[in-house]
Amino acid sequence: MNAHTIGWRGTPLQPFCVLVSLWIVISSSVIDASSSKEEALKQQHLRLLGELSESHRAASPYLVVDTRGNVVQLRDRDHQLVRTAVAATGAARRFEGDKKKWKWSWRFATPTGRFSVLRKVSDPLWVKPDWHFIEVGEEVPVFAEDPRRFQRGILGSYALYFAKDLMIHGTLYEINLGQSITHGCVRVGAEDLQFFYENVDVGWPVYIY
Amino acid sequence: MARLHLLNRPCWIGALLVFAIWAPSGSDGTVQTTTNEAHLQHINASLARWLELANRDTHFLVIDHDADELRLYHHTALLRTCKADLATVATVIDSLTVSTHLRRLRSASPYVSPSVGPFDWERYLSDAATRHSALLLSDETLIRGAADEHSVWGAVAGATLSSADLRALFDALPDGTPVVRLPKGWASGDVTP
Repeated sequence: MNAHTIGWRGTPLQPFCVLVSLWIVISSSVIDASSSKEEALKQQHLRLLGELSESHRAASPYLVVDTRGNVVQLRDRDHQLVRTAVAATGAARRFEGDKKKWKWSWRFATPTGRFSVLRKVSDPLWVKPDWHFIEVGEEVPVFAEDPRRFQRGILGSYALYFAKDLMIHGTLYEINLGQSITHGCVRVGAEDLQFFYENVDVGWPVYIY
Repeated sequence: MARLHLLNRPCWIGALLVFAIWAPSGSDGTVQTTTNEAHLQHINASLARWLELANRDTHFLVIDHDADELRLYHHTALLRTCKADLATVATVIDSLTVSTHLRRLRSASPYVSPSVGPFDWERYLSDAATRHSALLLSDETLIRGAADEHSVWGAVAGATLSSADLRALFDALPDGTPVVRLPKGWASGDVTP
């Protein structure tokens, strides 16, 4: 067999040679296009991972309150646990006084969402709200400045406000920690409270769920 | 005419058949490349969604098939990490949300007293999760507690996690909460699906 026989009029191998070369050309172009697309996707993947890792770091350490598990956690900017404290959170119960005298009702729940530490107070003063007097069956003082409304010591040594009337504070009854029994505030033990007071700054986020 | 004549030969026809079958798929490598591309696209879509949600002031859930975890985030803050069995969860990527909270009313037994907890007993309906509760995602994935002999879910496919984690997520995630599902290999870029 000479070279001439491998022409169009040659052996049955001729069509195979033509088609195989055609296939090689087509498949190589398909593979090139696919690999360049895959390369672009890999680049995009790396870019997204980079952006995610940049935005992943929190702007500041933050507090997390788990109202179901009754736990407060302090996490650093890399989301690592710094401190975990057993807490007591809102009972989520509704309270109504005598309807003839009081048309209002209260729901004693710890709100969920994103808050921040508004201020830190040592030796906080408890300003008793109306529901306290109704709850204990006492007459509700008419004036806001009535001395019966103020009491020190009952909130523990420190308080970290995260809303106007809501705070992380201490308790006289640490045996009740771990339960959902409060009127909306978050209670923690004395040691944990001191740690939070000393290590948490005003402005740090408080996430409650 | 000579060429047309050549096309009539059986060998040409055979060769054309082989070409027609083989050429579109290229080779095994090309098929693999296409699968890898699709998988990478899924991963990138998930990461982009995560980035988008991290800039919103809202809770969202991340289902991580690499770490076998469900993680609850708010903004960029990590609120809770839940170890989960995700073996029966399909890794289909989608714009998922929490669709429904499945719950039961109080125990069927009239002799069981309600336990202490954040329940709204005035309506005689538990707002919080029980061990029979589950979260249903928009793609019909079920997030439920680990099965026990009293479980109503039996062998239903879905993500299973501890009762404590389920209760926490159940209470924390209202309907419509966004969910990001990260397939295996999302962090390493290992595109083998």
